[in-house]
Order: sequence, then structure tokens, then C-alpha cells
Amino acid sequence: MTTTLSASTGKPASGSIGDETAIHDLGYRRYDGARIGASGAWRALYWQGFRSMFGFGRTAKAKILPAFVLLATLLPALGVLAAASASQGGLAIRYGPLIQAQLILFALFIAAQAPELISRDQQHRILPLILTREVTRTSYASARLAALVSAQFLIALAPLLLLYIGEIGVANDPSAAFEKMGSRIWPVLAQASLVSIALGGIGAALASWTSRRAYATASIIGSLLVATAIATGLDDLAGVSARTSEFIDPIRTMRTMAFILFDEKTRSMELDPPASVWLYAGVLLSLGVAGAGVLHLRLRRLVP
Amino acid sequence: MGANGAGKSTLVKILLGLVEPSSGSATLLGHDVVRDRAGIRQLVGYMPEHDCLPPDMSATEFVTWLARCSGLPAGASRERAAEVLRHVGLFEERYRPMGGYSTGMAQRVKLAQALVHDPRLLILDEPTNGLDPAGRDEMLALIQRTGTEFGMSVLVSSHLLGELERICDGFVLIDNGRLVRAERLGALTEETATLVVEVDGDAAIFATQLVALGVTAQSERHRVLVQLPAGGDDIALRLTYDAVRDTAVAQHVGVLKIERRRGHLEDLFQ
Amino acid sequence: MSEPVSTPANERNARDTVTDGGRAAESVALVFDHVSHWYGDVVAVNDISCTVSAGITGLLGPNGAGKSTLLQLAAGLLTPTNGSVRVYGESPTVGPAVYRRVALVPEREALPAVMSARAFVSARAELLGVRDVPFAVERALALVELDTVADRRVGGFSKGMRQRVKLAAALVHEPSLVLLDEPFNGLDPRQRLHMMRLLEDRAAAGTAVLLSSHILEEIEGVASRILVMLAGRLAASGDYRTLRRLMTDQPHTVRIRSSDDRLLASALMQVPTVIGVEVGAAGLMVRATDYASFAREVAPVAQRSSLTLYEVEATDESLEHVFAYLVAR
Repeated sequence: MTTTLSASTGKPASGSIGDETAIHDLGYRRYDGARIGASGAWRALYWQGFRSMFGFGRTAKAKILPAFVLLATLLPALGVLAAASASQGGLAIRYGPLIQAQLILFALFIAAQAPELISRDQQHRILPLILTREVTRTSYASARLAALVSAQFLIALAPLLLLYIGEIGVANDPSAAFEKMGSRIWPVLAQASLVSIALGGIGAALASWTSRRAYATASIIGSLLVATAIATGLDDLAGVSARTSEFIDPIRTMRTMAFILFDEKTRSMELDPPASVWLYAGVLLSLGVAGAGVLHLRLRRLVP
Repeated sequence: MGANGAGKSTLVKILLGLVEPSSGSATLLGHDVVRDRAGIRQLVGYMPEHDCLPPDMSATEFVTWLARCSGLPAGASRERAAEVLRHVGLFEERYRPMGGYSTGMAQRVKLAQALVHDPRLLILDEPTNGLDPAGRDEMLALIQRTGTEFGMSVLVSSHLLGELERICDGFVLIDNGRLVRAERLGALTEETATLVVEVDGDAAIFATQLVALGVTAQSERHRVLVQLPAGGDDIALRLTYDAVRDTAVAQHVGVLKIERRRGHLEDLFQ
Repeated sequence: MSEPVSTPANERNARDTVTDGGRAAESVALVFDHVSHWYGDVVAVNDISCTVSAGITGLLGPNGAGKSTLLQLAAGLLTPTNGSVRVYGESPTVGPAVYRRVALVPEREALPAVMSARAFVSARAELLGVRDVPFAVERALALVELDTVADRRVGGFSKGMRQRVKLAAALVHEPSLVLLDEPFNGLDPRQRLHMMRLLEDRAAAGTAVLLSSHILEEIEGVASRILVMLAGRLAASGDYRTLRRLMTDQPHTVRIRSSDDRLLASALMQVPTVIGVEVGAAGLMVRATDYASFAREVAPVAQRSSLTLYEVEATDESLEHVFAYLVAR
């Protein structure tokens, strides 16, 4: 409510508003405008989180890692495209090996950024400020997870999309190429989604357990390394088939799935054919869902 | 108010919906705290005691974002944030990252984010923590203005009883998880039947002289405590006051204070 | 006018500081002699000279005035850029001999989260060469009322409990100079009162306490002297009531309620030190140039006019007013 002391000029009310002489009270004012409720709050949480995944809204240093990961995944793709165009479309473009190299970078991205999204809120103790607003624990968890997963999706999609479009573009006959591999877009999308869901779930779950970002990052990388170690151990020492042991190691699961999706094979896959792609997809999806579950559970228990 | 560990912060967390009560119920502005959580969220503003400002965000970004988290549309959030930051007295500083803020600025931002969505109830936890005397005065004045001018209820938790006495109309005292007292401040701080007298001389001698005149009095350190006659007898009352005056004249001492003692919140903790 | 209470300790110190430099210096707890301290280009403490003796001295000032730096210089954690700091005649940076007599309770300090309160205080006691460590530790913990939770990890303590650990660690070796930087932060009213009384007892027994605080109403009751710092300089020192009298450009305002205010007003206007009287609903507001002499005139004037005095109170004598005046100058 602004109270305005004003002197009437005695003129009729046809004068413009600026005519009166007045001292305005600039004190506190009420807000009687629109309120969009929980959905607006969710969007605000999501967008702030999504932007901070790429370092926006934070210091310049925060932009370094995302930029590095993007570059490190895009450049090889560009390189492959350059080679393919030099050979006039004769050299087949293989997605599998490229993705295999990228997965490590994606793990790095998640390990670095999931804590920024989830541990940092705990460290700076802003949860009481958020949870007393139009944000429930569940919607907070889902907004943060969505930001993490969609950021990772973008990063995973970019090089693949580049390859896909580039492959069509460098071919001698683009329209024929498009007909031949138009349907390749689905593997591209599937690969990107499943990778981001799985890694996002793992990252979010582990980050929610500690408020110290360094510990969270270490635990994410550590868990993936331990998984690799176990899978390798089973492989080499226990003589378990590679096809079985790779389900222990999410990175390997994603790698094999990539090869299957793009109809490519590694030597070990030729010797020991993998199961249906749906199994791999199912495993990765479950990982993501389990991670989301852990995140929700952890946030429910937290007393800010 | 309450001793550390008495349950104040737990009570506040229950009211804010951060913790569920094991039993019993509470209503906030007509809404049940557990069952109708959604209805309460935009009505309550909370200023925590602890540090809670991300160091690499600016005050404007932070308060705008929190306004949106309270359900305000994006444009309105920006305006409200600007408005409320001005109200708490943050000007050019609001565009700088909060990591470099002084305690005074940080406390103002915390208050601003509690106000940005125009709540009906403000809960403030140790709002003057870390502020120097000038900063405390300003914060208390700010709280008082915000509370009294626009029908906003304010709940202040503090260990500094002096400032609570200055700005509060009522109090709630908790001890060991139980309610001890909850009443208007006026009842506690009203005048008692004891008169406090301070003179520019020996208090003990002054008290002795008063007693000789038939007045009930004793000295306590540098003050003299005079018992005023009860029962609303105006004449007896006047005689007592005059005895004090006359003794001062007879003793050739300066009168520094004559004041009826009032109750203080501090008395509740003795 | 209430004089600062004169105790044997006060008198002894007053005597000692008057005698020759060498012997006198040893018995004064803390002496700053034209001390300055710079952090790069920023001067935190600027040419400060003062002494702190037995009793409670309040250290006041706005945030950023340099109080924490002053306390650290006194504790020997910093070496002054200019000037000298002397604790019982020696520089506090000299070593353990001085450390044993001094304690600092800093405002910020990370306590090792994995240690128990008892372990932390014991470690300090051992490092300071206390003779009967378990006994001293038990006594210190009991003083701050942490004896029941002494074996719990400090990491799980609330803010108030961590403050008390710091206080126990500071008092375990029975120092004769105690330096405190906002020591009661996080303590509830009863705990504040308890700790303040503790300091008062120590001070009465001869300990020199230098206490930095923003809570002026608390300091007012206990500090016999105050030091006010502004932007690194010493703005004022001494008893605050005496300081008030030195504020000669600020007339004193006294509120008086009587049986006939207007009559009293005209009678008071005859008093030479009165420069103005305002008649209001709450009584008279009398402005006088000399508080002490006005105070002596009030009762006689009222008696001569047969007026009853119901209320007499000075409205701008408090430490808060003195402080605000100094800061605004």
C-alpha cells in the first residue's frame, strides 16, 4: 500500500497523473499480483539447475569443465567427419568406438556437475529456504534430477547428432544417404537418453549423500572405477563371460549397447554375441530409476 | 525464547513444515501445518540464523530466483526482488556476488528473501546475529516497521532479551520441550511496587535515612530500592515520593534516577 | 553518580602504573604503545596506545574497526608493524612463558570435529604445561557446564556448545589475561548471565579481561572501562559515564514527571545549567549542560515549590548513547 501525500491543484480531473505535487511513501508494498504456484517453482528450480550445469549463473571457472567435455566429444566427431568427407563417403563412420571414448568424459561431467547441483545446496544450507516455498521434497528432487539428466542428454546428443547430420551431408548423394540411414536417428536418441538417465541417476544418488562436493565427485568416480574393477575381475579371474560381467559395469553396458544400436561389432561381440538390446536398455533404465529412488529417499529423510 | 536445546528450533521447523510432529496439530493462518502444507507455503517467510547465501550469486539473482520458487511469475519476481532489496537497504551491492558481503549485508538479503513473496507470517531466527550496534538498531527498526505497518505477524527467536523487549508485543517461553509461558509483554513489563532510586552519593546511607523517615527501603549496590505502599492510597504514595525528595535535599546529594521498577524478560530466566 | 567500584586489585594497578617504567610494566597486564598493524595497504590498527589492567574492559567498535586484529596482537598471534605490545612487561610473541598467562577466545575458529570436548581441552592444557591436567580439564568443563557431554565429539555440538568449548579451553590454564572476541554468541540468556558472572568473579580476583562485544547493554553492566575503536584508531577510552560528561557538545536530557509539570518547568528554568525545558505528555524533557550539577538542583527546586517528583530519568546516559555519539563524530 503506497500512501501518497498530495496537494490537489484544484483543477478538474482531466489533468495527467504527473500534475499533482506529492511525497510518495516508498515503504514496503504488498504483492497482489498473480501467483502461478508449484509449477512455476519447479520450472525455476529446473532452469537454474540446467543453466548451472553449463556454468551459467556461476563463476567463469565453472564453465571450464562443461566446455572441455563438449569440445572433447565434438572434436573427434568433427575429425571423423573430416576424414569421411575426404574419402568421399567411402570410409564408413563408426559410432561405437567414438561413443566408447565419450563415455569416460560423460562420467567426468556427471561426477563434476551432479555435486554442484545437489551437494552444493546442502553445503550452503539453502534447503530450508527452498523447502518452505512452493517446493516439496519430491518436486525439488525431480527438478534437480531433470536438470542433470537433460544437461547430460544434450552433451551426449551433440556429437552423435553431428555425426548423423554430417554423415548425410558428406555423402555423395545426400538424399539417398538419408533414405538409407534416416532411421539412425532413433539409435542416436536412444543412446543419448539411456546414457543420461543411467549416469544421471547414479550421479544424483551419490551426490545426495554428502554436502561436500569433493567427496561426492570422488564417490561417483570411485563407484564407477570399482564397478569396472569388479567386472574385470569377474572377467579375467572368475572366468565369467564378458557378456554377463559387463552388466556390473555401467560404462561397459553403455558401450556394448551403443555398438548394438548402431549395428556394429567388436571382436569380443563377434565371439560372444550379446543379448537383446532391450536387456541393456532395461538395465540402464533401472539404474536411472534406482538412482532417482535413492535421491528421493535421501531427501525425504534430510532435516534441513 | 528459551534455553539452548529447549526445542525452539524444532518448534519453528514444525511450523515451517520441515519436520513432522510426532503428535498433536498446529494451524498457521487457518491452515493445518501437516495436512494443508500447500496452503501455507506462500504465506510464510523464513529468515534462518545460519549462513545460507551461495557465494557466487548476486543478491538480485538469488532473491529473484527464490521469488519464482515461491510461485511468482518471472517478471513479477524481478520487480518484487528489486522492491524488497530497496526496502531492506541494499543498493549497488545487490549486483555483486554475495561471497563478498559483510554480515550486515548478508542479514539484509536473508530478510529480503523472506519478504519477497509478501508473506503474512515472518519467522526470524536471531536476525541481529553478527551485527554491530548500528546494524542492530537498523535491523530492529526494519523489523518493527515491517511488522507493525502492514498486518504481518512476526515471530522472532532470539537470545538477546533486550531487543525482544524493544520490539515485541508478546512472548512465548519454552523450556525442556514444554511451553512455560505465552502472554502479552505488557503484563510482564508493567510497573511493580518497587521504586528504584539512584543518587550521587552513598546508597546505603541514603537508605538508612529513608528508613528513619518510616519508609521501607534498602540499598543494593549503588541503588536504593523503595517499597511503595500498596492499596492505591494516593496520599501515602505521595508521602513516600516526598520522603525521597526530602532526604536528597537533606543529604545534599544529586538525584540521578527515580523510577518504578518494571519487569524484564530477563527475570524469567533467573 | 556511580563511580567505578574501587577494589584492592584496581588500586594496586593504579599505584603500580604511576611508578617507574621498568617495574611498573611487569605488573600491567597489557600495554599497547603506538601500535600499528597493516595488512598490505590496509591499516587494521592505527597508532593505538592504551593499557588493560585487572577488571573487565569492554572493547567496542563497528564491524571492521580492527578489534579482532587488536586482540590477536595482544595474544601474540600477530606481530605489530609498528610500536610494541607488552604483556606483563614482555612481548607476547616471545613464547610459552607468556602464553601460559594469556588466553584468547577468537570469534571464528574451526574446532577439530572428531575430538571430544574433553580431548580438545586436555590437549590445550598439556600444550600449556598445566600440572594436573585431568583436574584442570574437569574444572574448566564444569565452569562452562559441559561436564555432562564432555566425551561427545565436538562435531556434533551446537553453536553455543562450541563456544563453551572454546571458553573452557581458554580458562583451563587459569590465565591472568583473558581476551575474548564475541564470546557469548549462541549462548542462551541464562548461559550468558552465567558466563558473565564467571568473568566478573575472575576480574574481581585480579584477572584482566578484555571483552569485545556488540551487545552494549551487557557490557554496560560489567565493564569498568571501555576502549572504543573506529577504523583502526582508538576513539575513546575510560569509564563510559565519565566519557559522557566529556561529551560537552551534547547537552544531557532528563525526563521528569511531577505533580505539576508546568510549575516545575518554570522553576527549573531558573537553574543556571538548564538550557531548555520541553513540556510533553510523558513529562518534562529538561536539557542541561552539566548533568551532575543539575542532578543536585532537582530535589531542592521541587521541594521549594512543594512538588512531588514521580519520575526522574536521564535519557541519553547509556553506553549506547555514548557509543553512537563516538561513531557519528
